[in-house]
Amino acid sequence: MHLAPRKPTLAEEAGLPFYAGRKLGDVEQALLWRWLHDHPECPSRVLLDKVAETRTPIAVRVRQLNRLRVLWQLNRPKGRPRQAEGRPPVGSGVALVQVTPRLSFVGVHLFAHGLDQQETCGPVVARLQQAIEAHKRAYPDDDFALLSHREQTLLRRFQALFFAPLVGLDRRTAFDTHEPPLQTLLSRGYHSSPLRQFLGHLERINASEALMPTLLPAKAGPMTYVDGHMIAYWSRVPMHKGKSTMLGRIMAGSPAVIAHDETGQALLVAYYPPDIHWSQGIVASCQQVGAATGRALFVIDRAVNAVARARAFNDQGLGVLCMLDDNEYQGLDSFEATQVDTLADGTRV
Amino acid sequence: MVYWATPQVEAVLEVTEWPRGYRARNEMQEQSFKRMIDHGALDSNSGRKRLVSPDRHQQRARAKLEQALEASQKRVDQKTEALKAKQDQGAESELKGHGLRLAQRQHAFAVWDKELEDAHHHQAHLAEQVQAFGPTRERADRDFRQQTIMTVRTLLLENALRAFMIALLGLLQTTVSLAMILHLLFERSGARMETNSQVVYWVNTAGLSVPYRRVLTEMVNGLGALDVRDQGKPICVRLKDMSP
Repeated sequence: MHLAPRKPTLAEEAGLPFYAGRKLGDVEQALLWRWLHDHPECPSRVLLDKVAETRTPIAVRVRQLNRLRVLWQLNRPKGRPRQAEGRPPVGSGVALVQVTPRLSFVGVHLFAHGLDQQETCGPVVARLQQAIEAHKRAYPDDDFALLSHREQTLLRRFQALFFAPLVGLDRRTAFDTHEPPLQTLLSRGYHSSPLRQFLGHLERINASEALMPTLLPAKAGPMTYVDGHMIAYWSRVPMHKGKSTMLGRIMAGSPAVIAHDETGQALLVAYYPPDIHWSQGIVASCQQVGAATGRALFVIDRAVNAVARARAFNDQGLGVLCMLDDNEYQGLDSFEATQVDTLADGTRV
Repeated sequence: MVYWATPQVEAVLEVTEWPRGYRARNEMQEQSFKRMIDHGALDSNSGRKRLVSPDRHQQRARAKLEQALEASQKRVDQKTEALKAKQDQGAESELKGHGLRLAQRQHAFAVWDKELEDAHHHQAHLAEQVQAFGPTRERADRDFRQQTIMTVRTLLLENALRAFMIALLGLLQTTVSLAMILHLLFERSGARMETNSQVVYWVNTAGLSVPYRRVLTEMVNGLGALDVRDQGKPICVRLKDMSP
């Protein structure tokens, strides 16, 4: 009989430190390892009963389990149960250190390792520490938790906020109602209250200004793109609001101005009250970007289209490229136009 | 479409390049906002604190009325001068014994007198409205500090994802979008095992179609080439069908 050479499967490749069993897969073995690790004194029969009651019953016999216990040095010593310290350290003779048989958002964990390797959050923590020191100098009598946080605490709390959207937590209250994989991601779980406190303290030290420079890239191109983004916001309190709202009940939203560079890297965000059009603060925002990056040319959304605005930019030594709104002209008849070229896509210039 | 720019832009960018430059902004920023809403929680509000500030709506309305009041004062002054001129002209006609001209000037005087009266009335009405505003009111303003911190967080996350994607795409043969990376790699479950020498991650491929499995395999190979490490230990990523 002809037999084709068997290709090695992924499961075999992956099961490096485990017993190359024919009946139990890596995950089943990992589950068993975890059970045994957590309950080393538990007899195999009792353990099997417990495993059978779980949602993932494993087809394993006592004999097979005992063999695995010997292999992993997690076998129950003979005689009466002894103290834990009398037992040899778990896994001292084997390569296994930790097993997490069920892990959600695996890619986020890998992404987090990639960020750790590049120390992406390092500058953020450094900026926060600078802001904390500056606050301590300015207000020596102030005393709140953030002022005495260790670097590791700052990093973890910021990372909890940072990774939250990627693990499905788009608002802070979701930390209480969902079960995010923060324990496996950051070695620590968080509820919303410590993060709310953390955010409140960051607000006190004005961390938004401190964190803004962390957005800037090392190398800057010549052009900066600027656009506005409106985030809906509701309030029962009479607040300043835009025009198209119910009186005193709903706000038009929170207009944000966001700047990107040519490669798509975000550079700046600034919020304005909804009753003040963002074009009124655009010159100051662009000046801030220009001072930080050395860029002087801005491509801006047509919403700020105004000659006065262009003059203000010009006076600051900044350049603006913009587009007229469709209702501001009626075809070429509104201009003294001379056609100089036609682009490949048919646009007449 | 009509594009315009200041001289600084003209010096750097050819006029023929303006449409491309503007469209690049539109495409890039609009897509970026959509992505950040989808997976960066850009549209979530943070911070409910309010700051009390002068009522700008009242300030604007008052400024508008005060401007109108100032204009009405000018109008009253002008009409007063015009009425005095008509009065002088009437007196002159009476002195010279004009007949028809005197009647015309008296009629014009009556018209200007009526207009002055209307102007006074309008001015008084505006003054009443200004008085009705009363003292300067206060109104709540949203405190944007927490919101700004959280948006900076979103932008940092987006920048990090962008850098990660650029690094990964450089190693892939297939063109993959960020949404696909998030869906196929980030959101999937799996398992983790740490040994003395390495860290192994399994990505659960249960339920994936063959084309998606192929793309995920390529991504996993790319991750291997990126040489990601956890506490100095190399990370191996494997695919595995895991029962639910």
